[in-house]
Amino acid sequence: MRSAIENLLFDFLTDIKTLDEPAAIMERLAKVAGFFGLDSFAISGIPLPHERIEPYLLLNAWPEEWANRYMTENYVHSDPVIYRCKGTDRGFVWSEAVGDAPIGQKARRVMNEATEFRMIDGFSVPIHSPGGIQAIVTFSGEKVDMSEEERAVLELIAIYAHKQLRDLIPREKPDPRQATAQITARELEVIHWAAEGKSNWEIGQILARSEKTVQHILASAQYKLDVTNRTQLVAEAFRTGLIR
Amino acid sequence: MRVIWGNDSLRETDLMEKIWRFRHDQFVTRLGWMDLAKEDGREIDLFDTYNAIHLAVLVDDEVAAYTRLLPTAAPHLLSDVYPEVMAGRDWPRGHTIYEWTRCIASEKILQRDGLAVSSLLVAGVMEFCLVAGIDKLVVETHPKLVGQMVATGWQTEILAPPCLYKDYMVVPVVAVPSPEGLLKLHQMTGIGHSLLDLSRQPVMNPLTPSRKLMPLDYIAEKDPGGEEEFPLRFGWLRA
Repeated sequence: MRSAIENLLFDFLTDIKTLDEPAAIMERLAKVAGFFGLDSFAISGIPLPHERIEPYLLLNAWPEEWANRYMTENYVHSDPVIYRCKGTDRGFVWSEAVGDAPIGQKARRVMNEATEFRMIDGFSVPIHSPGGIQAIVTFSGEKVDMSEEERAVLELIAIYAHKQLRDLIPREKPDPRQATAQITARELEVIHWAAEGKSNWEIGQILARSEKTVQHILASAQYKLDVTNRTQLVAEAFRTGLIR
Repeated sequence: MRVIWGNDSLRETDLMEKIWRFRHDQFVTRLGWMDLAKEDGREIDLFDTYNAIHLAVLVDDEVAAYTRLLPTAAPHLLSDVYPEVMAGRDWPRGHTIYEWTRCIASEKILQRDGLAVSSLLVAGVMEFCLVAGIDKLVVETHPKLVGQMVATGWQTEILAPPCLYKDYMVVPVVAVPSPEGLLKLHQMTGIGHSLLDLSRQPVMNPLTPSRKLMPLDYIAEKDPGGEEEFPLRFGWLRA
């Protein structure tokens, strides 16, 4: 028998892959938050000290008045939850992690004012990349009453929600001159034969490499030129003058 | 990164000795996994057989990061130590599927050539999978590390809900390597070349032991030596 929490996790993981707009992700996350009795949440990148949060905010399901105040007052730089996120790589409950810690007056004010919007306690997940902290996924409500397993489930859900949201942001097109400079001599050779209409197997025979290797080389070239199939790759290689 | 398995683990006695001691220092002394403690200070278990693949990042001949891959076609941790973390579900097993275990980086030696040894280890694991033809890794890990895998180019799939095993939160996950993932991982960590040390002496492919492991054609060798027409940097890719 699958438990409710197990269903919650796997249903979410199945659904999230198919959601291609932030509004749909927001609606789906609201269902998850509701399961844990949490009513507001947000996903945001972390601005540098001199920056504002607005361009980093990926998803905002906060009470409107609180969201406005948070942005106008530039609370992100005083928010002890944000501060705490920078120093940990694990999901944490606010009252446990920052509850007793000595915090400054402004930080205390942020926490106190949040309670006016029923954001009394919360669960926040820092999202890290090798370069450091990337984002925070944060849930809040009147109280957090979750077992270790439930916290781990919400942490996983936060990770996949953030990933899906990030993948929706169109990747900046690389400068084609710079992109073509990344193509190696081996890749160029393979693109040349692909443009001649040769199959991976045939190219493998010509260059004395395995079919799988040819496939890998093409995949790498496609990635570098930001195209998704062989036809586009050849077209892009002609367009940028890699091959003539 | 050095790759050792099969008969090489019998020949490379000095390196294997360092690896057993490194594992003991890290898992027993540092992390306190007392059930792995050994009187002689060498952490070796039942799964360190001929078929275990040891991957080690060395800095000045000292082990700075290490991990182990176990074939899922033979007994491994999920099958023989804690099948209960699967909560009755199946997990992928087969000739090209390995279990990723004992993954750790030293807290003392943090960098090599300005790159984090932990990044070198993880990127080395992905490169090794692509070189050897491993298509999936099964990993039992903390949820936070799932986030790091997701962020660094691994395709992941959760196999069962997270649960407590001996006071540690673990979640079983499949991690799929890919050339695109490797490029992303390289870009995010500033690595611009192959990490596998295959030139010193041939390393046979554990999946097809009659064949040598050959470098990937689309990654520059550590010292390109003029063969590459263009420099390989991935600075244009977005994280």
